[in-house]
Amino acid sequence: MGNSSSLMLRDEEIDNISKETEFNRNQIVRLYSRFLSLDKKGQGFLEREDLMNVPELAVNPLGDRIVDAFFTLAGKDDKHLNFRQFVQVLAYFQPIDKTKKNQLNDRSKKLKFAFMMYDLNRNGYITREEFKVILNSMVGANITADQLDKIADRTIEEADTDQDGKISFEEFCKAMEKTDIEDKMSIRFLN
Amino acid sequence: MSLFVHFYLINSPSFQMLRSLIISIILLLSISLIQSDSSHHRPHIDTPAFFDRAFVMRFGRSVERVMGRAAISNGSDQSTRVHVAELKWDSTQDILLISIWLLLACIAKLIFNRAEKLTKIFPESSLLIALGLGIGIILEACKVENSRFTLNSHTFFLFLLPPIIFDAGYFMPNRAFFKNWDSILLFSVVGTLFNALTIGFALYGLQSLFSFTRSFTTFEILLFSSLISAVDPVAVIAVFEEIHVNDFIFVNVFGEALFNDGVTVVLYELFKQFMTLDDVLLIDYAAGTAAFFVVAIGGLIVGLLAAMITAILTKYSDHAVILAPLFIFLVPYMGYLIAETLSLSPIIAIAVCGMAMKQYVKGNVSATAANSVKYFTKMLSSSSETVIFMFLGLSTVMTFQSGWDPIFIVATIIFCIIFRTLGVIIQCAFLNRFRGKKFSMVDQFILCYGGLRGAIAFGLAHSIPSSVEAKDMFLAATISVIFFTVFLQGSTIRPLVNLLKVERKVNTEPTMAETVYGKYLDYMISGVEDIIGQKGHASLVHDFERINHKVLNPILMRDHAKTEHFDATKIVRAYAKLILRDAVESSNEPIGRRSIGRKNEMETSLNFRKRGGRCSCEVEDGSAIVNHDPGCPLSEANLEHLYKVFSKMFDEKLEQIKEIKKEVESDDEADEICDDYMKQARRGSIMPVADDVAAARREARLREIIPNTFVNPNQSLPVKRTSSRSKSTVVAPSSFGQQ
Repeated sequence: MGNSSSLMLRDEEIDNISKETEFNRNQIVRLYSRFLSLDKKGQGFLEREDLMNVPELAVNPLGDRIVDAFFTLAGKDDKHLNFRQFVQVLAYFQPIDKTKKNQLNDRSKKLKFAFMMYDLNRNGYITREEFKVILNSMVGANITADQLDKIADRTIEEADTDQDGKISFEEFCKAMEKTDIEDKMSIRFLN
Repeated sequence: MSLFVHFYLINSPSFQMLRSLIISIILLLSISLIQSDSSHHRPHIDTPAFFDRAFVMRFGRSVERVMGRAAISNGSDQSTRVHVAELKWDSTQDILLISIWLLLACIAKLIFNRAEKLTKIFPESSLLIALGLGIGIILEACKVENSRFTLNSHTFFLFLLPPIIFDAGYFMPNRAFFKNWDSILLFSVVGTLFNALTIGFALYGLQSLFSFTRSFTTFEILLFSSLISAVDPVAVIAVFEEIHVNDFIFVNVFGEALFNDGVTVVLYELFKQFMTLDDVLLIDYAAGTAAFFVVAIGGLIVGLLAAMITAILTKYSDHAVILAPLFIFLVPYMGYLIAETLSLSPIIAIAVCGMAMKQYVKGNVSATAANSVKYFTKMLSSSSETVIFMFLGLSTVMTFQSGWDPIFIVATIIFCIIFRTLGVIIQCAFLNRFRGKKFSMVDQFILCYGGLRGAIAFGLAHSIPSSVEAKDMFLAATISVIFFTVFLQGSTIRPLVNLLKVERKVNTEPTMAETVYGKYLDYMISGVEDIIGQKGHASLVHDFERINHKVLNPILMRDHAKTEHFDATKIVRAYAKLILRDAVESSNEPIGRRSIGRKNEMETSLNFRKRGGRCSCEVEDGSAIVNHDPGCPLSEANLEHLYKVFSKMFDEKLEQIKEIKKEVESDDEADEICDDYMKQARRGSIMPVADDVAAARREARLREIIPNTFVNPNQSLPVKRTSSRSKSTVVAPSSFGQQ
């Protein structure tokens, strides 16, 4: 599959995408072959189900959210994800190269992606309820609802510096200040 | 003696340290001086000990003489009458002397800890070596047979080394370790090989230019270079524990030191065998390569098996709680011995065992047991370390008399530094091409500079067959390299780390937000890696966690809460820990300012223990701290009573307030959140919706319980903390953390 698929991607297209995302040629070709294998129906774009069919994603507690984030970033109410959009989303996870100035992969962009996954209703804040939903999917049946509440309270209290009961993007960044985002949110894309 | 020294210790600030040191040395000296004739042939118990037998006997003799019982020696049977008191020196001498040495070493360590000025400049390990050196010189001056008080490699490898390596494995930051498995593996295998070969051939080449005092063959020098090239875990841990660099560097240096043992053992044994062969064929090299895999992977398997056995044994030790810590020490040690017996890498075996069993064992044993294991491990390893460094100094005296070849020693030290640096730079350049987290120049420097050599090299040098002509030269060079690295590098690394502004280890507990968000990011990256169909670190960790949770935990752990796909205990544990810290802090506050809300949360975290089972260590651990806290103005019983009385009440109240709030919220259809997930969650377990009647009833009851509490159902966040009795107020939860 790998080689033949690359034929379907035109050279100038690769160049364009490469310019936009700073992926190199090989990476783009490799991602394209992955894109094609995800696109089971051969439509040229991905739908939600296509991504949800990845078996590992089904057991990832945040699987839904990740897929949602892909589609949200692609456009407001886009049900289709073409290859270009697919790669653009992935560019968020490129390791930070200090020599180049990439718009998409600096620290706050990476955090923005993470924040967006939390912010279910896209109002710019993580509310207590939104947080509890995510927390619930992560800790699940291990604890009781009461304990879940307490953990949620505690977490929000810590991050909520202006004490309005919800977490803004700035507060989110502040809470993550000590975390090595560059290290934690980067993927080494294979060539 | 100990009392005497102790007395001085109590009164002595650092300037008196020297005096007490001298006194302890004089004491030791006097013991060995009491009797100077050395013509005894008394039978003694043949227990393995690294102490000078002549010395032991002399001591024994002297005591007998002092006690005025001159004649209980060989065969003469005068003791037909009833004895009022009897001296059973024969049966206790070895063990008693071991204890005295240990005591002396630990007292010395105590003194070093007090002398802050000294420990600021020199690492403790180098001070201990210096002390050993001093005692050695004194003993030498007293003409004690010096070949007898050196570090015996048998004792070293079977008794002194295992506790240190076990401690290292058991407290290894596993996450950081697995994150850096690639670099650790490269450094410990390729790096050690590279060093061994380059140093060996460079020295061999040098032999043709200069003639050293002793000549050596190719395999003899390779034998030496293979033992001198290995970074020593004991030395590294002793120095790096004091300077607290960040986990990334620590894990790389230390992981290398631990796992290069497989390579060192193989190379050492291989060249030892090559020396005896007349001609080395290709098949011998092939066998050597195969031996590496057998030794390293064999050690790994033995370690994993031992870890599994320990976990299973502790799992079923719930009715014999006292036995559990015994298993935790015994089984890994047996793993070490078995690996040694099968000539696999014992160091890898016990380190892997400690690392692998940690998470299961901690969940299986009671909190007190876990705590005692922790202290006992630390105690064992620190006393072993102390004794090792002291005897390293002690043994030096003997070694330095012969085989002292300055050119060879200087050449060895220079080659060690050059090739270490070269190796690190090449490997880092290679790794940086493929890694997410790069090695900066500073990192590389610390990696080079942290390449300390230590007692393992010395032990191996000691067991070089005496047929090797240059053995004493090798031994002297080994000692010199150890001294050079431990003294010079060990004492300059701290100022250098300060100078280069190396990132220090962050000792603060991660906040709840960091824990939750951190886990969240891990899941996210793992998901994205799955989408692009590429196995990265995050998705591998996620896969392991799933398998661990589904397969391993049920087998290896007691009270394993069965959940579907994943393991959230990390978050729950982090929460329990934080609550505990708060509780401890608040118990230090005067009673008037103490917030009851924290006790309330504390109680809840205790409930976690009952349900989760796995967080028990931290929780009980902390409650023990709370109860025994000397700074607490309340007595134990009072404090406990306070918890019991109030926490129950507040838990109940909190529950009710929350439920009332939820009901109000669920009525509010104009809620800003209208995502599918929310509806789903609402239907799910996290927000049980009760009917209005029940709510009203509950509210009424609530007001009954706490009549003067102000309950505000419209508040956007649940009421979290309320204070007790007469003055009841509602405190906004956001002020909680700032108390």
